[in-house]
Amino acid sequence: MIAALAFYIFSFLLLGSAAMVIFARNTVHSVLYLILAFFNAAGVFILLQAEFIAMILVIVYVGAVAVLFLFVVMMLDLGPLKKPTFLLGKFINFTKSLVLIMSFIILYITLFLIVILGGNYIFNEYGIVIEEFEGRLSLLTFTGILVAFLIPRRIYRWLAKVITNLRQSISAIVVVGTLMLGELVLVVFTFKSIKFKENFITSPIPEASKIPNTKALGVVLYTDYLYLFQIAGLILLVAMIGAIILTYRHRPDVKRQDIATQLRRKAKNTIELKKISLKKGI
Amino acid sequence: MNIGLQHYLVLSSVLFLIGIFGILWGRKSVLNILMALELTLLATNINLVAFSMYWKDLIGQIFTLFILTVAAAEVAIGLAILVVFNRNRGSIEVEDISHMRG
Repeated sequence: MIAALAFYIFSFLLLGSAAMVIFARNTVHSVLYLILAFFNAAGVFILLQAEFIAMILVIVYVGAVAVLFLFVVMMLDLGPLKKPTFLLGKFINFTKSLVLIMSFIILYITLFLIVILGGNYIFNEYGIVIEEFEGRLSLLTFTGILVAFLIPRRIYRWLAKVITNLRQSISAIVVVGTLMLGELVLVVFTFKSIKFKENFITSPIPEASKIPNTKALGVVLYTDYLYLFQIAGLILLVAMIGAIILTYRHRPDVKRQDIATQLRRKAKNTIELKKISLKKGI
Repeated sequence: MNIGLQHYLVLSSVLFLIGIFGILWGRKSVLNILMALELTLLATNINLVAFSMYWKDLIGQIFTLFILTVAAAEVAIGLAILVVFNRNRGSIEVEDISHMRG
């Protein structure tokens, strides 16, 4: 009960702050909402018993990436954003309606499939699937409330405006929609025929009371995935060098210390002794 | 009131769509597009971890770690490019990045 309550609180805050990241007019506000979203995602991960990833999310994302965003926003000194317009101003009606219809089709079909297909699967201690009708009802209400909440009035108004512009791009929308619908149907029908092998779980999660999540992850990561781990380190190194090289600039008007030149200086090259005759000067 | 796999799937799919919407909803600033990209990656991570817990398999969490790494690298490079672009052109609006269009 408490876990369910925590899940609903975390997920609604996560989705609300994610929506605010996009809709906030001020960029600093949207970065702050991004931080809130990451905190709530960390809460969701803790509910999933993935404590290490939750902590990594807080440390790496909130501590480093979001602060990097904040630094860049402050450095670039952006004003408040103008009213939103879609990319590619030339094809504005086309893109607008296409994007809208595509996202709505994906949203509704995905939610519909997730709710309708199968029952509600529940994790239990031994990984056994339990199906419950009650759980499916709660899932239905959850998705219903989500959909109702996540579509602000601004989008409804905008939807009415877009539908009047639909005639120009109706053929492309129909083609894309039917293609995606066909793919989804294909996925659903082939998914049922998949049969997993006996031992398809390669690295099972040990019991949490014996080995904690962090240790279990480390045992798998440093043995089976050692090369991938090294490559990830290499990617980070490349990112670091790339960021430094991209932002480095040499200003001719600023004097900087050049250690090589300093070391190359010798006394005989720089100091000259002159004999000055009396009462004459140089 | 039990929370199962599908609750997490609904959560991650809605979050992913919010991210996609944020990428395409042209806010005229590249920074917002980068932030929306972060949201989509977060949705992917939630999906992976939920399935990892469902199948009792650690691989999902390992992949999540790699996604986090790559996302951090991507943000660093993207923001560096953004800073350089702003220095050269004085703006990071999407409509100003049109010099390759010919």
